[in-house]
Amino acid sequence: MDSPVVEVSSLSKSFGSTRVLDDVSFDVKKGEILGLLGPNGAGKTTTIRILMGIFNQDQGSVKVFGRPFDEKTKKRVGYLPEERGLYKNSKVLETLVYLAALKEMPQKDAEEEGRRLLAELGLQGYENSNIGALSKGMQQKVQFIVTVLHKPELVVFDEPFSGLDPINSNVIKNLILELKQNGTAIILSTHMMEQAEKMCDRVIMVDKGKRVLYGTVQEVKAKYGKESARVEYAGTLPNGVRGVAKIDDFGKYAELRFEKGVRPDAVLNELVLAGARISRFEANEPSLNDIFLEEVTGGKND
Amino acid sequence: MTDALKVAKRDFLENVKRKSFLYVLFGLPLLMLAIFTIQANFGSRLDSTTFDQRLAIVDENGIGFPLTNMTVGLEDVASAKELLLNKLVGAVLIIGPDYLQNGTVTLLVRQGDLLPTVNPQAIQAFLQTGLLQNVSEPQRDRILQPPDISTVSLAPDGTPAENNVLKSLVGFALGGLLIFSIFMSSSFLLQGVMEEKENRVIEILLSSISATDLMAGKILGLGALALLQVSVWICLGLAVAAYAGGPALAMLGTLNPADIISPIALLIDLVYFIGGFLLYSSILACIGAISSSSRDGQQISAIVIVPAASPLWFLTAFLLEPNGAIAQFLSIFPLSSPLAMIIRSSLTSVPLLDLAASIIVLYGAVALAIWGSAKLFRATILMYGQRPGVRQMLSILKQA
Repeated sequence: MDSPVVEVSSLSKSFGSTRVLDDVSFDVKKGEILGLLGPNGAGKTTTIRILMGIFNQDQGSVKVFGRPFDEKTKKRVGYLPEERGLYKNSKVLETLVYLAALKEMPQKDAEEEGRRLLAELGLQGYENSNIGALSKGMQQKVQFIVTVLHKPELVVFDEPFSGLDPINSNVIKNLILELKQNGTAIILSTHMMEQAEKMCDRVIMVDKGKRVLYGTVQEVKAKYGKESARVEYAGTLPNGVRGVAKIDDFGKYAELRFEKGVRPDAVLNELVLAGARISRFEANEPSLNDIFLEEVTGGKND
Repeated sequence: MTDALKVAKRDFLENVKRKSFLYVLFGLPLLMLAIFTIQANFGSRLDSTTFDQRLAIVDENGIGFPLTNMTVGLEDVASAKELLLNKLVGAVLIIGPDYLQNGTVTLLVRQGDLLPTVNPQAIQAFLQTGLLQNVSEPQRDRILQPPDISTVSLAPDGTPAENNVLKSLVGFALGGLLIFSIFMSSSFLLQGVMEEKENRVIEILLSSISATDLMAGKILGLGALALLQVSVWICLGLAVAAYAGGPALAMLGTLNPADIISPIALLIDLVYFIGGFLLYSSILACIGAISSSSRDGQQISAIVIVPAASPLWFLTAFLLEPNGAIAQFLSIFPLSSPLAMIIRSSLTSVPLLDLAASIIVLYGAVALAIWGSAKLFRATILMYGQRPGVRQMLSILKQA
């Protein structure tokens, strides 16, 4: 098996007296999407900036492509920052070629690949438009092309879907999956848990600078252990069923969150015994979103 | 091509295309040329001592002015008026009976004619010639023509030194252009950094190349821009001099380029041009990185621009005492020395010790500014919304 593309171990970083990262470790393999999850201010962007060689860590080590990060590593990675922006008064293709040149991509290749990607994203004919004259969605697509144009072996997407409409979100999602299939190692930092759950092979969740969860989506869910069920019923649903932590009642159906370690069949049994008229019972694993909320707020929102 | 050169190339090309750059590049010499031409033409017209249209003279005083082919003597005002209204003459000059007492003459012109239809200098010359007709010709010429004053400056040992007024003027003008060019390209640099910071391109740039390469590239690119600007101005100046140069240079009293600017002065200008540019541009790049908004950046940049331009406020002190205390201080203090020394060296020969001290201090400051700016640039370029305090900046500089 290949050695990981990214190996981060015991990463710590403080700004002044604020500790923004505390002993964070993870790795990313070739052809894998690692979801970097966490609330605002959790330390996601700082982690990414250290990975991209923009910041230096205080402690811990970062190895990319098997060696410590240096200026040469920068040429083999792509980065889509959360805060978007490009030269407003420059032309689309010119900007692509310039930024690719900084990644050491020859001009001719950059032009060719740039045109191809522009066409693929429906931006044919805009090669010589000023970026400032494009719509926001188009600018986001141009920025996506900037990120992947030079065929990086590691790409970091920081909130790639923010501000995109559903159609463009889908286009970008497919392109990210295509990169993965071609063997690119991908770090996807996002708030959109649903997207992360569908796309990521593994996830790492950070909160207040610490790693709180790490593993494949299945592992994380199994470790988290809490399950839920969607119940369709007639009449009313009894209150105070044993083993149920929370009921979200929508009138015709309800979502039941189980207490830790409680099995779905036990709950069904309890419901029936309590006299509920159930027409449908569907046990669910917790969604990443549930886990996220639970971990980050400590269940205070429940 | 190294990363710094790639950045330099882009920043150069991007700024060369800017309208404001092109306006100044070609507009400034054109403006100066236009002012010069207008002044020269207007001035020579006003200075002319001959009439450029026929004039009827009515001499009511009986002095008997000598007439030329442009003047017509008439006995009475009425017939002169008739000639004027029939457009046979351009104007009528009536020299009244009490002209010798109070100097009053009357000029009749047609309604609607634009003034000055008759050059006052020419009228005066005509009257003077008449009044002086009984004086001997050499004396009359000396009275009518202004003296040709030739100034000889004496060196301390009593030998005549070369006349350096012209050199001062040329040195002064060239120095002004150099400083202007430095200011302009440094402020482009500041704008460029702030733009990249505001639109966040900086994150992409820094994930591709090092902060040091980015800063070095920007300084190189805009330095090349300043060099281009100055070269174009000098070439335009030489072209104009070659085209209209004969009379202009003759007017200035020399045809020898060595009399216009000495190689030493050129060398001094070059040393301060490069040093000044490196100093201002590295400090402004750093200010761009530190500031939280472009308005912020413009305001902070005053700490560089104000001392840099300060020699202009003390221009009188420079003219009166080019080696005095004020001139000496301003030409050693690194933020003001580029402009101060260029002005000073165009006015006088600067003592070698002053020159050496000034150059050493300037290039020392350049080294310090590049070192400090590179560190601060790297550490602060990604700080948004808040500007680092002085204490924080000092601690960044202390870090190895």
